[in-house]
Amino acid sequence: MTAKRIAGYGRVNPDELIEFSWDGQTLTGLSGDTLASALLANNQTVLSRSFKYHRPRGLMSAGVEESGAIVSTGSGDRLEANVRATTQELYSGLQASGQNAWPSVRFDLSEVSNLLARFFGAGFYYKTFMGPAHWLPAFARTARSAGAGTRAWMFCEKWIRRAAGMGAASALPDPDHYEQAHAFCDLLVVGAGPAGLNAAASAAEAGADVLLVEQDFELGGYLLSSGDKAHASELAVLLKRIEQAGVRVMRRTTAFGLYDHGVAGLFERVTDHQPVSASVDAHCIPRHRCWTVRCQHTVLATGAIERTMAFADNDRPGIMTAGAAQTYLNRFAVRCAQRVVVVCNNDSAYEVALQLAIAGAGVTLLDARAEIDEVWQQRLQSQGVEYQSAATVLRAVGHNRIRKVQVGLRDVASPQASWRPAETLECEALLVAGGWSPVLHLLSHRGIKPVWCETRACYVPGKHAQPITVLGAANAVFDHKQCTEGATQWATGWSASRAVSTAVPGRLLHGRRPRPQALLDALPNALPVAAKDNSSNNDADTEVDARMASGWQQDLYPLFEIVPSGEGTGGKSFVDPQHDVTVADVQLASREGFVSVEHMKRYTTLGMATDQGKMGNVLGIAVMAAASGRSISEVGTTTFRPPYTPVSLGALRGRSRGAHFRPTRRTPMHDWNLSHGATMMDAGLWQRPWFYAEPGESMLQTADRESATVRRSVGLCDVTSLGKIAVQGPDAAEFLNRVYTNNMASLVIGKARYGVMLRDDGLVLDDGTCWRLAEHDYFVTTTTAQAAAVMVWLEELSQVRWPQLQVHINSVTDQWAGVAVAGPRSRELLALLMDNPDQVNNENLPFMGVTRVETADGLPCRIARISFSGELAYEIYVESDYAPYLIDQLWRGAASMDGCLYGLEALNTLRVEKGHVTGAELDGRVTLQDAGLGVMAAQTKSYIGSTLAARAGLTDTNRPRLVGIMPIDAGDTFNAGSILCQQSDISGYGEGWVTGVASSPELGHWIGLGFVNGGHQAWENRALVAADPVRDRQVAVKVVSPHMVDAEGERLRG
Amino acid sequence: MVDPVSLIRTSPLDGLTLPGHYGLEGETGIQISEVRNLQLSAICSWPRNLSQLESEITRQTGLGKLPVPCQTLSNDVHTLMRVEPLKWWLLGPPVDVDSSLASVVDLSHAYCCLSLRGPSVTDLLSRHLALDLRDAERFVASTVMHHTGVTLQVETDDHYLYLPRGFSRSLYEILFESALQFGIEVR
Repeated sequence: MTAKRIAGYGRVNPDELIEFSWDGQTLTGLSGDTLASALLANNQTVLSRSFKYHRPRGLMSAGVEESGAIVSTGSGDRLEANVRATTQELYSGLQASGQNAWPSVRFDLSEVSNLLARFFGAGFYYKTFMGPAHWLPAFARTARSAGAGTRAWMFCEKWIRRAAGMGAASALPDPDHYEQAHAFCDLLVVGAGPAGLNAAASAAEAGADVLLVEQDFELGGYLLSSGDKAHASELAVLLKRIEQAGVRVMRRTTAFGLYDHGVAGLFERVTDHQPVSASVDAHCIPRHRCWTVRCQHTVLATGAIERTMAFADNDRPGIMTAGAAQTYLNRFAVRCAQRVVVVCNNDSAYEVALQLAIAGAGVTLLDARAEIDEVWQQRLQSQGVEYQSAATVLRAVGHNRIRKVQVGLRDVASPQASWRPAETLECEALLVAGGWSPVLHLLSHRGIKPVWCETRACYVPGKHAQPITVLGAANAVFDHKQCTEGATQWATGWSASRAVSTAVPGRLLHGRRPRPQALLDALPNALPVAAKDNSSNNDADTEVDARMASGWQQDLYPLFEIVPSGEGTGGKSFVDPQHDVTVADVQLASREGFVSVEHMKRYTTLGMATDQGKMGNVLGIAVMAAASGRSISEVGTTTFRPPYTPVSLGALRGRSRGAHFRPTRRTPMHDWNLSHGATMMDAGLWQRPWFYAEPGESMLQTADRESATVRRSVGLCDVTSLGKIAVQGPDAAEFLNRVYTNNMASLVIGKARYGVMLRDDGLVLDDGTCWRLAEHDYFVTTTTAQAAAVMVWLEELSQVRWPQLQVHINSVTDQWAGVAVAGPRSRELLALLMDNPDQVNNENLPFMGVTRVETADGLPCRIARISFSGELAYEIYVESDYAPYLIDQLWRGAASMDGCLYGLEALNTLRVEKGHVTGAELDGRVTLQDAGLGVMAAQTKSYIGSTLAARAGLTDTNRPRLVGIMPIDAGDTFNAGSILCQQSDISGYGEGWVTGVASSPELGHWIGLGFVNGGHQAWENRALVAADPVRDRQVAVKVVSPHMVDAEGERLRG
Repeated sequence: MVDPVSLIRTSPLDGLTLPGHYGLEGETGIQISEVRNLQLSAICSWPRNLSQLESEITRQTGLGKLPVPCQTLSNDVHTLMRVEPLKWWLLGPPVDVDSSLASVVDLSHAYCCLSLRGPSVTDLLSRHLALDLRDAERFVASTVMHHTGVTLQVETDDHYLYLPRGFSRSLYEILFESALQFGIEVR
C-alpha cells in the first residue's frame, strides 16, 4: 500500500515527531496520531493475524469497531494484548507488536491452518472433540474416554489454544494503579459528535448539569474527519459553547454499559496515552478509572458504524471502510493509497472518493445502484474519478496486501441480485461503503430491542419508556443539518420541561436542587423522525421520508452478500473478521437447523466477545435471512451486552487489591500486641493475636505454654473483636426475652447471663452474653464471627417484626475494647488495678456479676465475671482509646505473677478442654440439644425458633451431638475435619465428625470436639476411627463427654 | 465521657498522619487532619416521643429544632445530625435524656473522624462514596466506603468522614493513596 502523508491536511502536528516501535523497528509518527494512522503512514500493511486461520490482516476501520489491527503494546509487566491500533494514541516510546503469529505477522508459519480451513467450519470443535474420539492415538485414549465425554477436547486443548486465539497477557503482577469513582448529573450525553455536542451545549445553557463523555481523545466525532472547512468552524463554536456552559467533559472515556435507574458505567483511560512515568507511579495515579454515573436522563449520540460487504477475500490488508479512509485523510493527513477502488451502495462514499482524488489518488468508484445522480457524476468527472453504476467487487486479489479487485456487474432489469464477473482493476486499497449501522449497543443493554428499517437498511431504536433519548446518526438520522437541529430541538424541549418541573412545589431535598423524576420521565424518548419509527416499528418505511432522514440524494441499495452468478469465485467471504466467521459458516448453521439468531451466534461465534456485533452483526443476520428464506426483520437481532468495548479487570477492581483487597480491622491493642511478640492471624476481617512465641518456641509449644499458664496463674487475651451491641429502650427486656432461648426478662441490673439465639428454623444462630446495665440498658456480646449477622438480625426484628416495641439497637463493638483476664490469679490481678480491691471480690462481683468501676487511675471500666476458659475469669472493657493503657497496666501485674499473654491458639485449647462451642460447632446445622445446650431452652415462654425447634427431625435423639474425642493411644493426634467412622465401615459420612482439636497440657494428650450420632453415651466403651481421607490418616479414638476438664465447673466459681 | 485526668486518648491513626505535603508536587487538592478527642453520642427515639424529645434537645443544646433526615444543625457547642430516620448523632457534650424518652449511647471512641478540605475534596470522595455531593451543604449521610459503613458530614467547605475505629487505619490508607493524585497536606 502506498500510503502517504499529505501536507496541509489533518489535525496532526507535522512539527512534532514521535518515535515509536513496531515489531522491533523504530518508526516515526506525528503528534495527534493514533497507532493505526502512524502505522498506515509508515506503509505497514500486515498488522495482525486472524483468530483461527492466521490470515494476514491490516487496518479495516478507524475506530473501536476495528477487527483487523488488533495488536499488543508494552512489554514485561505492562504487556497489553488485544489493543485496537485505531484507538491507541501514539506517544513517544510506545512499543507495539503484532500478535498471534510466529515468527512475525508478515510471515506466520501458523498460516498453514488456512490450508485446512475447510475442516474448521462452524461447530468444528463440537463435532470433532465431543463424544466418541476413535481417531485419537491409543495413548491418549482410555477405555473410559473412548466412548464419550470431553477427554478428546482436554487432550487437544493445549495445542488448539496455542494455535488459535489472540494476544497473550502478561503473567506478571500488574504494576499499575486503578480506580473506581462515582458521578452524578442531570443529563448524561454519550458521544461528542455533532448531535451530542449540540444536545450537551443546549441543555447546559438552559441550566442543566451535563456530563459529556467521548471515547475519542478529541471531541467532534464526524466533524473531525469530514474534511469540510465549515465543519471545523462549527466545531470550534460548539467547543466554545460547551466550555462556557459548564459542561463537564470526559474524553478518552467510553460508556460501556447502561443499567437500571439511570446508572451508566464509564471506562476512562487516564494514562494510556502517555509514557509510563515515575511521577504517575509515585502519586498512585490510576491507569484506568471505572465510573458509576447516576443521571436523570441519558442521551445516546453514539453515531453509526460503517458496514462492509461480504465478498471473496474481503479481509485482505488494504481493504477498509470508506469512512475510515476519510478519517485517515482528513484527520490524520494520511492518504491510504495511490490507487484506490471505492465500492459502495449509498451516497456516503462519494465525498470520500472526491476527497481522495483531490488528495492525488487515482480513484475508481463502483456503485451497486442502477444509476448515479447527475450532480454527483459531474463532480466525480471534474476530479477525474472513474465510476460505474450497477457494479461491485466480486473478489479481492492479493495476500499480504490487496493488488487488484475483480469487478462484478448486475443486470439492473433482473429481479435477482446476482453478479457476473467483469474486468479486474489494479489497486492498492479497496474502500467499502456498505451502509451504516447506528450504534445501539447501550440501548440493547437496557433490554430495548432494535427494529429493522428496510429503507435505511439498518436497525433503529425500538420503542421504550426509559429516560433515554437517541439522537443523530445513532437514531439513523445521517443528514448533518438534521442531526444538529434535532439535537438542539430536543435539548431545548427537555430543558423547558425540566424548568417547568422544577417550579412545581414538591418535596424539598435538603441542600439539593429539586429534580422531579416523574416529569422528566414523561418526556419523549426520541426525536420525531425516530419516534415515528419507534411507535410503528414495521411501518417505519411508510412513516418516514427515508431519503430525507438519510440525507442522501438516492436511496441506499441494500447489499450485504455479493453472490456471483454461475461458479463461485472461491475465497472466503467474512462476515465477522475478528472471529473468522464466514458466510459459509452462517449458511452451514442454517442448514444444520439453527433457526434462532441467538443460537446461530453461539454456534458460529458471530459477533461475540469484544466485537459485540459492531462489524459482523448485520451482515451475519442478512446472510442468515437469505439462507433461511426469511426477512431480516423475521430473523431479528442478537443482544449486545456490556461492555461495549473491553474494560480492564483492574478498573473493575479499582484500588481494592493487594493490601487493600479487603478492609482490615484492627483492635485498639493491635500495635501493643505486635510490640509484645504477637503473631497475628485473620479472624474474618479482624487481625487477632494467634500466639505470643518466646524465642525458639513453635506455635504448638507456645499454645501449650500459654494455656498451661492460664490454668496455673493468669493470662490476658485481647477479645475486642467480640461483637458488642447496645440494646436500649423501655421494651429492651421484652425484646431480648423474645430473642434469646433462655429467660432474659428476669435478668437483674448488675448481672450477666449466657444466652443463645436461634434462627426462625430452630437452629442455633449464635451464643454470647447479655449484661443488664440499667433498667432500659443492655450490653449484648456476640461471637466475633456472627457479630454482623446478629446485628442485622436484631435490627430486622426491631424494625420489621416488632416495630411497636420501643427498643433501639446500636453497635458498640468499636466503642469498647476488651481483655479477658483468666486464671486462678485473675481476681488478684484485677485487684491490683483498683483503689479498693473489694470492688472485685467474690461478694461484690460474683460469677456472672457485672460492675462499672473506675481503676485507681480513673479509667472507667465495665467488668463482668464470665469465663470461656473454665477458670476464674473476667472480661474487662474500656473505651477504645484507653485500651493500650489498660492492657499495659494489666500486663505489668500479670508479668509479676508469672502470667502470660495468650492468643487464639491457646484460647482454642482452653475452650476445647471445657467443651465450649464456637463457630466451628455452631455451623448453622445445630440445635440447642445437639450443642449440649438443651438446658438453655426455656419451657415457660415463646422465643424466636421455639416452634420449629420442636420439629421431629430436630428432636431425634439419634442426631449428632457434641462430644469430646480422645485418641486411644495417648501419643496419637488427629485433625479437625476428620470423619468419625466405625472401624468396620470407614466410608461415606460415618457416624460423625471432628470440629476442633487441641494439644491439652492439662490432660497430657491430644483432644478434640466433634459431633457423633446419639452423643457420647451411645458410644461408651466403643472405639471409633478419626478418618482423614484428605491426608490419608486413620486414628483410633474414643468418644467422651465434651467437658474434659473441670466438668463440675468448680474453678470458674472459685 | 469525661476523660480521666491522667490518661491521654490514643488514636487508631497514631503514627500514620504525620504532618507534611504528600503526592502531587506543587498542588494541594486535599487538606486532611484528624479530629481528635471526639465527643459523639447517638440519640435514638420513637415516633410517639419526637415532639417531647425535640423540646428536651433544644432546651439542652440551644439548637432550634431537630434536623430532618440527612440534615445537620450546629451552634457553637453542638452539632446535631440526623443519620437515620429515628437516630441523631450529637457532637459535643452529651445530653441527659430520660431513658423512656430516648436512648443515648456514647460513640466517642467508636469512630475516627477525618476533616477533609480543599478544592479536590469532592473529587476524592467520589472515588469512594456513591453520594451526590453537588450543592451538598449541612448534609449528613450514612454510606459505604470500601465495603464498610461510614458517615459523611458536609458543612460549607468542611467535610468530615467518620470511620469505624477498627477499620479506620485501613480506610485511611486507601483514602490517602487515592488522594496522592491531588496533592495532600496532612495537618
